[in-house]
Amino acid sequence: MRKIVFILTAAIALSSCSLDISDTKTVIISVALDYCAEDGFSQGNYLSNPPNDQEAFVSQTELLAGPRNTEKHIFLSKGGTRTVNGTESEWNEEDVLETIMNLDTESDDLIIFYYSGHGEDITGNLVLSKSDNGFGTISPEELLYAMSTLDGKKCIFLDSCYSGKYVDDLGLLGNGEIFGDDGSLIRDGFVSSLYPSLKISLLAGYTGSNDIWTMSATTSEQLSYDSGTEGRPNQDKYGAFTYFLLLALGYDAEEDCPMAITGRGEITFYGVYKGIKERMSRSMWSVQTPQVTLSPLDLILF
Amino acid sequence: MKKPILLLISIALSSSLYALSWNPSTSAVIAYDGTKYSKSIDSSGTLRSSIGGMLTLDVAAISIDRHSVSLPMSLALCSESNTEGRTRVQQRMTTGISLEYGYAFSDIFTLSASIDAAYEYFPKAEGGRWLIGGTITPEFFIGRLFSMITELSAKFGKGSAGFSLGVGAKVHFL
Repeated sequence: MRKIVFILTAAIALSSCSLDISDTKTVIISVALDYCAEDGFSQGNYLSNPPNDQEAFVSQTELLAGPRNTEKHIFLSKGGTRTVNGTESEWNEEDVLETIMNLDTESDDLIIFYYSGHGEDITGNLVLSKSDNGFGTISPEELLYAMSTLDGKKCIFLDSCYSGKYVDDLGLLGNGEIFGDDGSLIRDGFVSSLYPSLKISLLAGYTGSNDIWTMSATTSEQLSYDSGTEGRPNQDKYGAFTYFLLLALGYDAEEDCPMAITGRGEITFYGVYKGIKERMSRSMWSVQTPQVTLSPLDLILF
Repeated sequence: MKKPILLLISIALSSSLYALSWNPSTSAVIAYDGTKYSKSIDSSGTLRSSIGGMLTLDVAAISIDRHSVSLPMSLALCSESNTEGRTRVQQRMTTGISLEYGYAFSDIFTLSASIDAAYEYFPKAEGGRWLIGGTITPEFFIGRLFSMITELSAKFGKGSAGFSLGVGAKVHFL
């Protein structure tokens, strides 16, 4: 008996390996647009909160990652002015993709892509510019391909309509979510997941994750809202999804400032997802149901 | 012709029923769990280690002489795995059912083997998957109703293969 306990303990000790995240780099690429008429968009496209979303998300993640270890690429369109890292620049979707693909990263680095803005009807394409020829967009295939070319672990957060189209079904796990004809969530949970998981487990084939974890504000058929209406502190300043994302990351919504709680421990991808679900009301969750890449592996963010 | 055949079957059944006994039990095991995922799922390609605890209830269990057959049901909780790079396997809960055969070599030693089907659920991600596998369990009796067990299991899921090695205790109710 003693020998068996010793072997078990030794196996755990020898196979453990902790990552010192302070030695790694966090790259933040963020894109946000208010679709102001001065930027060429029609008045009906205007969204007031994406610039707030971006500012809060970037400041919170930079605080958690540590400013010394953070590299930022901030694409903003606000009030008709386009900037990159605060400098005026007529950027478009090609510049965003080029920036992603030219990043210099290593295997333990974390690359975060955050978007707050419109998702094109049906396709979910991220809408980044407007010209006489139509909208300039980034499709799920383009974004996921660009991210897959990078070394390191990649995390995508999307606060836009139909953004579930960016969440790859790896064919590994089933979550048993059932939606009604109107696109709202009817049922989910452990019992609901049993049979869909069986079908997935029996079907041949699965997709590699390319080390990408994606969290979207909605399914591929739902709308995302510019703000929530539950009367929480400063909730009207942020996108409905981003507000709860910020809370799950530890943002102080009452003081409206970034905050890192000492002794909190690690923040992981599925920990954030769980944090959003615990805070968002069931009624909101049913009409705007965040989707996540389903993998047995959790990603340590901070 | 029918009557002699029926008589023979009755005698055979009653003879075996005389030696047939109901043998319910419960057990608790603590185990080391090692799982390896394919490289497309886990780019580190390393063995992921966790510690788990399992409770088993074996109500549908019968013994005939030295042979036993049962359908034990189990519930296991497994910790997060070790961290490799920036990733670790999530904490998970597994519920399963097995078809088990055991042979009592002596009054103090029984060896069992089973085929297992289990549902592995990840509560944080709220997703799950099904696994199949097998287990070998040597059992050492201390007294008539209490025994110590070791369990060696192999389990296979989509894109993964793993094993667990555990020690525990078993209590027979009858």
